[in-house]
Amino acid sequence: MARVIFNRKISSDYYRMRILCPEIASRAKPGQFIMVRITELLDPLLRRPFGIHRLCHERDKHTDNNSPSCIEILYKIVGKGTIVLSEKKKGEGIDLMGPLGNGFYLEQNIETAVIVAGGIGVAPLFSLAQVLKGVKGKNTSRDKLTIFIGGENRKDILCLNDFKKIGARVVVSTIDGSLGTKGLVTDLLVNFLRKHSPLETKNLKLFGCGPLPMLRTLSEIAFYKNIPCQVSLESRMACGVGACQGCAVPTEINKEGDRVVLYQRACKEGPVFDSTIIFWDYKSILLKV
Amino acid sequence: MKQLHKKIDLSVDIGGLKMRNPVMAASGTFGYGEEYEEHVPIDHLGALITKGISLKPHSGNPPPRLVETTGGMLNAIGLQNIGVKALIKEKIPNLMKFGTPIIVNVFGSTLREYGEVARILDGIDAIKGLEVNISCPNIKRGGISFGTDPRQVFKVVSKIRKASALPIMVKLSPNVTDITTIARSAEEAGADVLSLINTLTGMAVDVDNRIPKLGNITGGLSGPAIKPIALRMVWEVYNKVNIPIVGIGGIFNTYDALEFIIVGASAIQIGTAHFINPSVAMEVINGLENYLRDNHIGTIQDLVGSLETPTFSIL
Ligand SMILES: Cc1cc2nc3c(=O)[nH]c(=O)nc-3n(C[C@H](O)[C@H](O)[C@H](O)COP(=O)(O)OP(=O)(O)OC[C@H]3O[C@@H](n4cnc5c(N)ncnc54)[C@H](O)[C@@H]3O)c2cc1C
Ligand SMILES: Cc1cc2nc3c(=O)[nH]c(=O)nc-3n(C[C@H](O)[C@H](O)[C@H](O)COP(=O)(O)O)c2cc1C
Ligand code: FES
Repeated sequence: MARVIFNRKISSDYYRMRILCPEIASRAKPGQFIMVRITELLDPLLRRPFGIHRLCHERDKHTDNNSPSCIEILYKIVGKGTIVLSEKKKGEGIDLMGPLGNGFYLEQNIETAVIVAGGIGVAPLFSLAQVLKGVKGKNTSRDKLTIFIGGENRKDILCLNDFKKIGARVVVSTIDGSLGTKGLVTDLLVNFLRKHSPLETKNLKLFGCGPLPMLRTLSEIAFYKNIPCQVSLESRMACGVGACQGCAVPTEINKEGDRVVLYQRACKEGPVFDSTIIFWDYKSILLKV
Repeated sequence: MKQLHKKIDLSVDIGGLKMRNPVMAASGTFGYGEEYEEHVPIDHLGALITKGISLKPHSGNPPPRLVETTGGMLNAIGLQNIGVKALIKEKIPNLMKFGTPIIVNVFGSTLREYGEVARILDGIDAIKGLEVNISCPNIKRGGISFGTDPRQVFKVVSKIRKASALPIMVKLSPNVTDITTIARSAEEAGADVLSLINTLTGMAVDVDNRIPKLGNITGGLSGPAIKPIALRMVWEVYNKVNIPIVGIGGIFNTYDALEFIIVGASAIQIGTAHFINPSVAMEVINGLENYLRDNHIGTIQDLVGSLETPTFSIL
């Protein structure tokens, strides 16, 4: 069974847990997730999904060339399950399923990448940045990987130094202006694209994770600028393996010339999707997730 | 003398369904089997029941489709499925390799559709039985569920009986006033086995936004919360019919399974528990074996309906 290496409070509502689980860590890709059994008892009942935040070893922070033996999850306390999870102690066993789902699709020749993170949406994006840096070599300049991190206030801005340490450029915004630029994180992206000529952004790739309205705006920007964009979506899950159809996300696909709505499973076909296929106009998912 | 390593035989034959043990995966909780391939030794299961299948593919309900509730969960998947043709072409070949009996769960929105699906599935070697989900809206009758009206149940089951030579298991809805009258109708129409219960209709509300927590407003409750109701219904039906019963509802461990068997179930299905503990079926199979051995009981059949009820009362 997997074992908790540490479970640290990093600010009022956020925790970081490192877990020793070589079978999962050695196969995990950024954007994939795990299903955590919160308790052996039956309350809370269902497993909880968490993105793979970091691939690492038991002691050192970052992964070297050896295959990683640990994963980390970064989580926000929002309800019963995450409260119970935050009480897990170092050395305790923890029941995980994973790695699950399809991670980010990473081509070999990604020249420049921009990552847009909203709140706790930053969690799976750190492992993505780790790998993007790896793909391109340690010596690539900061300009090649930019992270925009946004939140309500300064408390919601996580992982700032971690991103800096791996050599990425980090820009922050908060709604209340308590850290970085005041405003929406997607405005940072709009400014960025305004400052760079279409030629400069020709080979740009966008990646995002965060609240649905943010992802929708991100997707619209990507669409108008014709930039490939992958988003990681959240959905209520029960099985996490594709069996129950509970995590369905409405997508629009082309079928014999018509756009038709097709439900795809966030846990199986996702949680990462090409932003152009998501049927964003779905009121019920906008309201709830 | 206690024989420690005596081989325990868990095999059962219920209404023509032969299984190496009485533990099945419930419809809709095990996908088309392949989803759990990596997580469960599927060839150990007594049988695998597919997601509900209809004549044409169904796209399903708008999200959110799930809510956790105390001791259970509500689902409103909307019977999303790939349709019977795609099942046969794309899923059955893969499922066959496990060597586990496959039971196809079928439904329709008209009588004709039920019959048609059953006919298409008849004669396919790998399929060992049909489970008929009668908890579906009958579109010809304003969307009232077939499963709530004994006459409609009789018609559906007769239709399928005519269309198929396979063992037929009729899955009863608990959302009725008297489950035994429905059970009797299914038996009279020629059902070989009854399985119960399907989910109980329920609801959950988001009070901040004053909206339902499910896209479909209402959904089906499953999990530990429904077990006492399911047990009571199995016991009631056991006392009224002469065909075997398969118990379903909140089975999470061996003791839960035993409770169902003792009140009259010849076999059981596990649903929601797979989501929490994918090894649950294996644990229950081992647990049943140990229980029989420890209590010197020869077969599962010896335990079925072995409930002893009090024989006296104080006036
Ligand atoms: C693929 C994926 C990756 C995720 N990664 C992370 C992560 O890295 N860090 C993090 O903090 N959170 C993440 N989440 C959200 C996280 O799963 C929920 O915050 C968590 O399940 C809440 O549980 P709870 O019992 O504390 O809250 P409650 O609100 O009490 O939970 C009740 C039910 O709703 C579900 N639920 C509640 N909020 C969400 C949500 N936002 N998304 C999906 N289901 C939800 C729960 O799983 C549970 O079934 C992820 C969700 C998904 C789908
Ligand atoms: C997500 C989900 C999907 C289901 N889909 C079906 C279905 O397609 N057909 C059916 O007859 N029952 C379906 N069921 C009902 C289960 O097979 C079972 O009867 C019910 O969940 C009670 O058992 P449990 O408490 O062990 O889950 C579904 C249940 C769940 C939770
Ligand atoms: S959570 Fe069950 S299919 Fe995705």
